[in-house]
Amino acid sequence: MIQLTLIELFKIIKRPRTYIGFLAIFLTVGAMQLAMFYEGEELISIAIQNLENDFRLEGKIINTNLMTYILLNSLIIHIPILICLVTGDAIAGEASSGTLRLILQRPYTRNQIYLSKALSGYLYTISLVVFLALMTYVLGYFLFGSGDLIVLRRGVTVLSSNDVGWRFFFAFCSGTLSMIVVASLSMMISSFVNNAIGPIVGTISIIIGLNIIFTLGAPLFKDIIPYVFTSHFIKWQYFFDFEIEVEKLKLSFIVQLGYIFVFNAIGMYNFNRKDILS
Amino acid sequence: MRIYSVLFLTVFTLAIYGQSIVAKNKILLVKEKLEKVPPYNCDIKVNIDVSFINIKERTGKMIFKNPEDIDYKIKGFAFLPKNEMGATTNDLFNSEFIAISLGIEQGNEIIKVIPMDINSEIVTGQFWIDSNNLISKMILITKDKGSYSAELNYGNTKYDLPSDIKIVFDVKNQKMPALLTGDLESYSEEIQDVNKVSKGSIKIKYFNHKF
Repeated sequence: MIQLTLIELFKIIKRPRTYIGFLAIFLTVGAMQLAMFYEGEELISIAIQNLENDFRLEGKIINTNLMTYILLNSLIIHIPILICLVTGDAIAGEASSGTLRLILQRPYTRNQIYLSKALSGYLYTISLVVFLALMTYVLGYFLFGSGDLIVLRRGVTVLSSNDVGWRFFFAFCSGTLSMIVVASLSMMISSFVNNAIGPIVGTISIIIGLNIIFTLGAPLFKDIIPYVFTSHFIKWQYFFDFEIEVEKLKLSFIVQLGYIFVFNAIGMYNFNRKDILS
Repeated sequence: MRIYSVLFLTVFTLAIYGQSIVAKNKILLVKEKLEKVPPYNCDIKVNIDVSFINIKERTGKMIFKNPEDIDYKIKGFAFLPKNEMGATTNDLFNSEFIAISLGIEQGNEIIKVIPMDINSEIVTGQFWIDSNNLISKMILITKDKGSYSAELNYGNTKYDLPSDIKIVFDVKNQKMPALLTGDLESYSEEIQDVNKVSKGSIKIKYFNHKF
């Protein structure tokens, strides 16, 4: 199983599209941080202009913690696109190039092959999120330095700079789990089709569609929203509340694990019955 | 009868005028005391109590040069009162004003101060002044920023500087646009009374004064 996963990882490393994600994060984070370096004060003052009317604000608002928090929001749409580029290609790409037939002739079960592809996809996902975390925090630290984090969520929460490290750690863990759900979904779709474009477009369409429906129609669907996987893409924000709602985070963790299990089960079921002869 | 009426009105007017002069002199004594304070710096602890703001106690330093020029060096980020009470009262006392004594309350003389300038930012101020000519409480009504009040306590600091101050002010409930904050879940939450004015307070403790 480890051998299979290493082989799959080798394939991922060898594919040029793997590096599109890292390059995109590098460029996006770099551009965003530079933009904030030059125009950040004005942009932030738009967000806090009401506060500035009532209070005298003392201290540095823009710092690496705020930049990392802002850029973590890219987990909603941008990072899923980059993940699908690789995980969506895992089975469908090999089916379209004809190599899937070769792989399945080897003395491994289809479940083992599917799981090794899923595991290597998850490792790619984790590496992408770690790269995002390092890029945002390290570059932000050099450009802006450290400081207290101001979170404009359910009012205004100010967190001391020495109280945010563990919050970011768990926020990135939560974000990684959400991205693994995305990877599982695209792997599942990938098992259904023989064209790599399908899983990429399909996964992104599902994510964008669900985000739009459940954001704009939130009052209408508020009872089912906690069970829709896209609603958990922003659960990392809970780690920046003054009083953390542990029960909601536990539910989020269980729901997302459930989705990972279901997507993989459907994917494996379908992969076991996939026709490779025609 | 007419003579008695004229006499009564004259005595009454003189009494009111006399009372106003006494009240104004008392305010001028307070002002004189404030003006004698030399530049200094001290450590501060700031606590804020506003319904939509979550922040722990902040510590730092206050550098006082004059009532118009007060600087803060806070560890991290902090919310401080927008209008420095010192500067505001200074503006009020430095302009032409009428002072009316409203009586005594728990050993403090209550004096209402009304600026003569119709364009003054402060519409009216009410001060509770103790036997040492120190302001123990004040309420200021402003044109645009609502009202705010302050309660001051004094320790044994030189120049009779306050050891702590609690400022209570009007503040509007605020809700930031979700697309700006990334808080997309707020769409499904019930809309609060945005822009409803409520009371907020900031407590500042001053210690370790260095003149």
